[in-house]
Amino acid sequence: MLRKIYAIVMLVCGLFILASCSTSAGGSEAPEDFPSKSITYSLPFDPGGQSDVEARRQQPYLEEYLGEKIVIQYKPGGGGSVGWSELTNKDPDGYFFSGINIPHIILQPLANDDTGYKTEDIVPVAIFQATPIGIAVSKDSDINSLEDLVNKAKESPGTVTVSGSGTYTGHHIAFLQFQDIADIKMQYVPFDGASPSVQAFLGGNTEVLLGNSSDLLKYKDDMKILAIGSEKTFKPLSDVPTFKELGYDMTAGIDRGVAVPPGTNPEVIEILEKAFLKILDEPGVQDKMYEEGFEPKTMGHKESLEYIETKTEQYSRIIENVQ
Amino acid sequence: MFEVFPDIISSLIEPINILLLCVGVLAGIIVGALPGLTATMALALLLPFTFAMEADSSLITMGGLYIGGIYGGCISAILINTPGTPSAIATTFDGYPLAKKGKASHALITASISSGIGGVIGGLTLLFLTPVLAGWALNFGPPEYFWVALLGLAMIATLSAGSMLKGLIGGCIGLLLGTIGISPVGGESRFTFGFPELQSGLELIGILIAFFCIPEVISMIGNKAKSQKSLNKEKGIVKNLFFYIIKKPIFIIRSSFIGIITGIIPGAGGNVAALLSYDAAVRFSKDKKSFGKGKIEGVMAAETSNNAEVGGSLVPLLSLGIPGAPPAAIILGALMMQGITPGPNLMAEQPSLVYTFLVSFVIANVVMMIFGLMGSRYIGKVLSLPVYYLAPSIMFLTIIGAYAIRNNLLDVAMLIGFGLLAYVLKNAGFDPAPIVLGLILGPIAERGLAQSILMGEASGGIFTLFFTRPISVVLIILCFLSILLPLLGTIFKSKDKTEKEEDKIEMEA
Amino acid sequence: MQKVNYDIVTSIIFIIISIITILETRGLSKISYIFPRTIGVIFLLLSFMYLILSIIKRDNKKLFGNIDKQKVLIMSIGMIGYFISISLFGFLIASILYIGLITWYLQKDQKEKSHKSKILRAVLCSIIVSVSFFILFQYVFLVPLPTGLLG
Repeated sequence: MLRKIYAIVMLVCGLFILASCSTSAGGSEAPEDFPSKSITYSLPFDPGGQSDVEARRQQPYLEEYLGEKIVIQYKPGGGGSVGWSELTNKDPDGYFFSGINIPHIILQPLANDDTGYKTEDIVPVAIFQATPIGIAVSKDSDINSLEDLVNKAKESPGTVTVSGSGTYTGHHIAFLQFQDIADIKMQYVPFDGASPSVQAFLGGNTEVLLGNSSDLLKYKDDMKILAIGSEKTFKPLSDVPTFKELGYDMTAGIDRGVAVPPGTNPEVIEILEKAFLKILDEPGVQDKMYEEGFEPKTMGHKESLEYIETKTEQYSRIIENVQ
Repeated sequence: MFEVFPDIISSLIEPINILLLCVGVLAGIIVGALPGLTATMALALLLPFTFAMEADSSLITMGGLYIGGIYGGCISAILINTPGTPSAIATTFDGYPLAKKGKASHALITASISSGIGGVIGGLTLLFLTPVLAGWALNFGPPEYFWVALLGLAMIATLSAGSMLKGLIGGCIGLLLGTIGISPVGGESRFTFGFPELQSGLELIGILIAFFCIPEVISMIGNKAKSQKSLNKEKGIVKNLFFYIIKKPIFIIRSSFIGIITGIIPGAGGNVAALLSYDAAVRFSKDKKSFGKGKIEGVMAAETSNNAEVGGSLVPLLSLGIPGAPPAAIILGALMMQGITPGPNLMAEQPSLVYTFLVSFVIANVVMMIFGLMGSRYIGKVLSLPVYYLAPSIMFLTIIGAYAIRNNLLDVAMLIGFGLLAYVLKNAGFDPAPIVLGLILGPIAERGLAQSILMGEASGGIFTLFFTRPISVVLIILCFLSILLPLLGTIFKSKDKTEKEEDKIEMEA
Repeated sequence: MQKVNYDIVTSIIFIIISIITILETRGLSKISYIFPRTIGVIFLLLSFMYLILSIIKRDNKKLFGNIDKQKVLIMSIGMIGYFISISLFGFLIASILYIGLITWYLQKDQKEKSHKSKILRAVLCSIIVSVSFFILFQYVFLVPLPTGLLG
């Protein structure tokens, strides 16, 4: 009951509290004072998505560590590109950071010239969460292993249909990478998001699904998961082999983190980096993430930069082959 | 359901839940009535607060907000020809003409009653038929999306007020505007002319406001004729309208059915539902000419259907974990933050929560109807304000709304640009409705077409894929009927009876 | 004086737009061009039909017939000015200016009222509407409204 009273107090009064928050800018200040006003956490996607779930989980911890209000804003559009081009044009004062997705931030500028941002303009603070991409077939399918799938694709090239989310996205690049390594040819059918692609697969419109670990976990009774793109065995799906274990040297997944505009003071980045990584040490946080089908990651600023660089190199080669 | 009955009752009679339900509905109506603020956005704002609530309270509030938000869109649609949410687009067709005739309160009351009825029917369907309907959503593949979009586009025939040719040209303009941005399947950016913001395409709500509202405001001040008539006052209109509506059960069922089915198909929202239902209402009516000039049935069809759609859109969410519409996606997010992952087993794992939500959903629709009826008496009076207050204030609201959608000044520039263009086009005889129809349905059609081509290339038979799947066949027949019937209708008039019979046979063959 | 037949002008503009559209689809992959190009071709054909019909059936209806052109023009220019002042002065100031000026201007027909009362109405209306909605959007709906280059 107490909790309910609290809830209603929150609902009625929360708006007024927010209203009293000042938004005036403070100008430049010494990094040791950071932060001294509320911080905007921008998400380049629609509310309610995986990035949002993660951001909402972090919000109370960040407010506790940093001692300032974290305001979450949504800037959806263009598969994230609208939000990221806004990020690269913001003041590099640390009071504005944005969620980033890898490989999106690498693939979009590679695919189109007018994306509005460059990969190297996005300065990662930390990468804290990933959804490995897995490959699955319907539970009634005659395919029982990744090898069966490869054999079937070799017998009749181009006839196996694979649904995934979007073009020049994590799913698409995973598809291209797998095709390349296994030396097969299949037909990729992109849908406008993970849910529609799962729906099309469950409805029997495509034979194979490339899905996020969180979705695979949700529907694991309706499908046979052949392999998963994580580095090591993925805890929540411990009986599913990784691509590497099956002899295909690749990982596939979507990594989520946050980034600041170029030119941000390194000390400010360090403060934010510490805050984000500390959340993962909080009791229960990692277990909760696994339960929802996410893989916790703990990459700091430097590590993330190097990671993005290696991936960029790898992906440019694959995309060049396609175009 | 019955084993969890005590839980449902105890949760629903909690005063806090009753309060939250009412607050949710009311807040939804306000947000929905403001152009540019949508149910989706209101839910996103509520999201952080739900985190502190119990799971049942959070769902009850969100359900109420969602329902209120969809209904609220009709208020601005009727009063100022601006769909407050995209779902209310078809409400403008007859609602605004009614308001112009001084019958704003008739339109508002009709909208409240039919929204309530549609919402309750949608809610009851959700309550009792979710498991049955869930499988249906999955049968909808790319070819079916393509045909549904074509079926919607066939409506241009009904919507073109003046010349059919101008309607078709308008439709093409809309379809082309819909292709701006990253191509949905190919992933390449098209027609962006160097603006990165355009990659995500034109913002539908902004364009709706531009095409429907701005020409109206300009005409409001530009017309030399004296402005708005004063409101007619009549006693007992609520009662009269209620019986008028309730005496058309087939009409109500048809509109609700279209709404629910459209809701279940993920990706097609309340706007498509209301448009299809409006189209059906015109086609089945004996008095087609009076639609679009302020006919109560037009408002009924649109509002019954878009509120029934709300229930439908929650079917795939609760049964499969797939959100059927953007607001449903936020409800999914809220559930995940509560530690509940909606999936195929949600109903089995959380029966008391799900059923509490569903029962409260039905109640929220009744609450919405009551609020709507209470408000209708007063809110229509806005129109009796003098034009010199009304016009600049409406313009201000549209601009703040266009900006609020995604915090982008370019959207405001587009609103003004397209608004002026729409004014010129409207004066040249190009009605905004077909243009907007093309914009809404174009991306659905293109995605379905391109995906089907990819699937067809793999299976080696594009033709089989498009023309032999059972739901596709039904949709194709509907498409043909909706194009042929009006044509035949005009032929009927000029020929005598014996020839009529022949036509019918030909059509069936 | 030969009256301008707006039907012919419009159809020619449409033909030009459709040709530009079709040309713009060059360089895209098949999956990306198939839909816009098809629609572009249909648009071109319909526009030709429109052109031919309007040449055959010339009617000299004037565009913007029974309309107070001055008010429409002021309203249109006002909207564009509003947009420019938002990007210069920020949302609140621009809105107060816009609503105030337009409300004042639109009262010009009301001869029976004094100048003072017209200005008073304009000022009141603009401040009440702008400030109340500004607060609602900025602080309740948390929309970060633009502050402008000079703000």
